Amino acid sequence: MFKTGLPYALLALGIFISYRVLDIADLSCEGSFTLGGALSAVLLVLGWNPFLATFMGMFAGFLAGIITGLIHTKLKITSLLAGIITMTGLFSINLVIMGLAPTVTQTNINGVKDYIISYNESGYSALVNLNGYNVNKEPIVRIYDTFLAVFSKNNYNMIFISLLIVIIIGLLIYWFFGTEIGMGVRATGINAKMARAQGINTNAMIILGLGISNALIALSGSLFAQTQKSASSTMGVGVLVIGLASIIIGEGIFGKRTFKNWIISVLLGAVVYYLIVVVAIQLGLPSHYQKLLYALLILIVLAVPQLRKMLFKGGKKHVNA
Amino acid sequence: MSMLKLEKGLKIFNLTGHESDQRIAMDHLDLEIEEGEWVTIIGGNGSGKSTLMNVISGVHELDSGHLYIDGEEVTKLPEHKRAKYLGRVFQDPNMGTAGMISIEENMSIASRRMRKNTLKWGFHKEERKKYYEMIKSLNLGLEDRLLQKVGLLSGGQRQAITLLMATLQTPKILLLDEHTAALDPKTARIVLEITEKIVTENKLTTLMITHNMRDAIKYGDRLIMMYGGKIIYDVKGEEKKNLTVDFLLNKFEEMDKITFDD
Repeated sequence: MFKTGLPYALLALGIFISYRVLDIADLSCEGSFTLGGALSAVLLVLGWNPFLATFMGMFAGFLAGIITGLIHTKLKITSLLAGIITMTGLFSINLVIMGLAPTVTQTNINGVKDYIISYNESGYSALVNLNGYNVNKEPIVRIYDTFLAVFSKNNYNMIFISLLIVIIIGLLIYWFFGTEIGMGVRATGINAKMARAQGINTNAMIILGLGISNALIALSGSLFAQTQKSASSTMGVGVLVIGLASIIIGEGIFGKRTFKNWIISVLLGAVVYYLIVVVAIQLGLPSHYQKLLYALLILIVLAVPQLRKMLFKGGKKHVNA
Repeated sequence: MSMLKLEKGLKIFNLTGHESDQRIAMDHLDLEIEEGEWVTIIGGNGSGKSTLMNVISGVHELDSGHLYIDGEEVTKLPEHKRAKYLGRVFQDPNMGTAGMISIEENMSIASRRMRKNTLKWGFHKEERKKYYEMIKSLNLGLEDRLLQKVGLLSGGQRQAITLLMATLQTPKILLLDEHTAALDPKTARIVLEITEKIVTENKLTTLMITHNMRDAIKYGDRLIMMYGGKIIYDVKGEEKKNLTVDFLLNKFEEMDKITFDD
């Protein structure tokens, strides 16, 4: 069950960069998650190398983040609206990208239904299936089917390779935010006026930060699509809430004392979040109650400090100075 | 050559685009400041002193006129690019430092103000000793708290750290924008003493806005009084040393009278 949970760790880290480091609620993530999944899936169907296809998905997310950043900093549109504009535009772009895969041709060889390519379009939704063959009539090779797949069980391979990618990205992000430029991004998010007074080009830092944030979110979407063996035009719906819940749960349980500690907390938070959801579903929670569970999870974690105060200080009200 | 030169600086704020909604914050202002000069600036609310600071630091672009720092024209240079010439301390103690990161991280950001940031690691262990010594010289007992987040410091402590950050790389001009106004009298005194020490030791060209007439007279070698976006009084040397608070207050009242008579 970790196989789809691990890609969410990258989603959480991406949203962490916009929401916590830059202090921007960036809604483009719903579009860039799908963008990463859709582009990678289409490229895999077109027979690209899975590493390259995954990278391109991530890179597309980087560009999407940069567009949001440019709209926000150069056109002076509030970050919330800039994100909504990008997200809305990406919905069509994602459909166009998915349309680059040839339409469905189903053949039956030996009585087994084989997808050569699967692309279904019905109005506003599209789906690219990774469960069959690519345009060269070879089986589709996902990143989980490459030389990195050293285990005999497919699920183990997915966990291993996802974990490997999460660790590498986690280390890269930790390194980046320790460099001078990375410190510039962090300072911009904490206090933009101070950052400018110290010679930091805050607009450039916001654009770069949103680019990196959305690159990670798109990478997460790409890995998610590859674990699910399909990318859909609606796969990004709700990812902002998933990311936020992961961040808040991670901070609540594992703390945020140092930046290193904070990054690890966010990554682990996504795993814990996913565990809770999986357990709830295993216990028989109907799937249409899932969003209510998400909302309650966030509420509980956010309310814990206040509840603790009420319980342990004789129920007196405390005013925060 | 003068360190700062402002020629016919004009800054008009306009909320709606209608002429009736505009306010002239800086009215064709000429100002020249010599290297090593410490200028105190006084003036009432809306007199244009903060606008002057913001125009120099690049927060606001001039509507017309020219601005030179050490002979180089910077009129169109964006705020972050002017930072290499300027050390700035703000009125709000929270503005000059980043609260969520440690003292030494703040200092290390400031130590890189003069050049472009790279992908090199943003902090080196050797820097710590330097910062330790600098902070120790403040005599505030902060030198053992280098790893603590700046957000835990008091307003006065944050202003002292901001002062260090502003002068860690010697700036061509130090801009102090009412940097003691938000502090209690005792802390304000301490921060002003630290300011005097840093400015005189490094012979910094300094502009200091203050609401406190006594401080304006006591510190610096030149005093400027602003009114309605103009400089209405400018003294230095012996004449400045002999100023009294009453004289300055009378000057203000005179100005108010003239304006109301119009």
